[in-house]
Amino acid sequence: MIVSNIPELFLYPVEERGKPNQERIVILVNETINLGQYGIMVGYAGVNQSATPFQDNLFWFGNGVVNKGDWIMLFTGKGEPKSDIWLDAGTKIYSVHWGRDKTMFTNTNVVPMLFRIDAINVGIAPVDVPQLSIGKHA
Amino acid sequence: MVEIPDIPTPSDTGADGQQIQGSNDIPTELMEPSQLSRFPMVNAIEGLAAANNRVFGSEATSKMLVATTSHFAGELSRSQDDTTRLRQQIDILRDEKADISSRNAVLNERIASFRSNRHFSNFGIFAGTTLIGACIEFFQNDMATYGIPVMILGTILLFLSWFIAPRRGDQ
Repeated sequence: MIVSNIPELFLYPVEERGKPNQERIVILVNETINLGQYGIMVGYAGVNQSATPFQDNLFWFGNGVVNKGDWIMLFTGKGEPKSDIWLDAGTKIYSVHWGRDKTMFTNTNVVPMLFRIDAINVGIAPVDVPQLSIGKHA
Repeated sequence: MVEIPDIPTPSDTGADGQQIQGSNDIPTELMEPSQLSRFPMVNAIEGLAAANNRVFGSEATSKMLVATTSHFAGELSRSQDDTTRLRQQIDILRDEKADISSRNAVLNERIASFRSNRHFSNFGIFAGTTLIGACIEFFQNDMATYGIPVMILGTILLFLSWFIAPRRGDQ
């Protein structure tokens, strides 16, 4: 499947691959967006910047507006989300955490895949029904 | 060409410091995405037929083609599963054969050492009894100074040979 690129965000190569607590996915924001529409998957690198996603590996950023020039540092380990101001450019650096016990990108064939959600169907949750019983209660 | 800015370093990452290094292999927790992409040809034919049921000439041809490819894909899947299972059994049997071969080598070595021990033991018993017989001659001829060491040597040789000799249960 071939889909278009995501111009509003620029995905850098993983920084500090395999270094515990420092390994991070770096994203530069190119225009003001709500991050709730984006997420990261993990894939096996192919040719020409393609990749095949592994199953059951997804990070959703959650809702939050970021501005042009801001940076998102997605650390693969656990931690507290932080925001910092980069004095050189006056933009913000957001540090968020995936919460993995082990580093994920030690093998250089494993790469992050940034995706955008354009449409979604949500399964309807079951509603409570009256609980009727036949017979005597103890 | 668009200039890519340098990456800043946050002053406080918020990391809790508990993370450890993962394996250099493909992490085992990352599962292979193989379920739907196992038979891409079947998927393509089914997709084409679903989009246009006359894509392969007529509706009947399309259905026949989809059914045929699905049937052979199923057969192929079963054959692949059988092959995988047989390979696993071969691996198990190969391991068992390796164990039996190593046990066999140990037992062969024990049999060889048993034979050499038996020869040594027979010689020791023969020499020990000869020395004890000689020591009796020494005592009868009032040559106790020779008789005692010969008797001690013969006795030790006899006992050692007797106890060193391997018994059937050892093997």
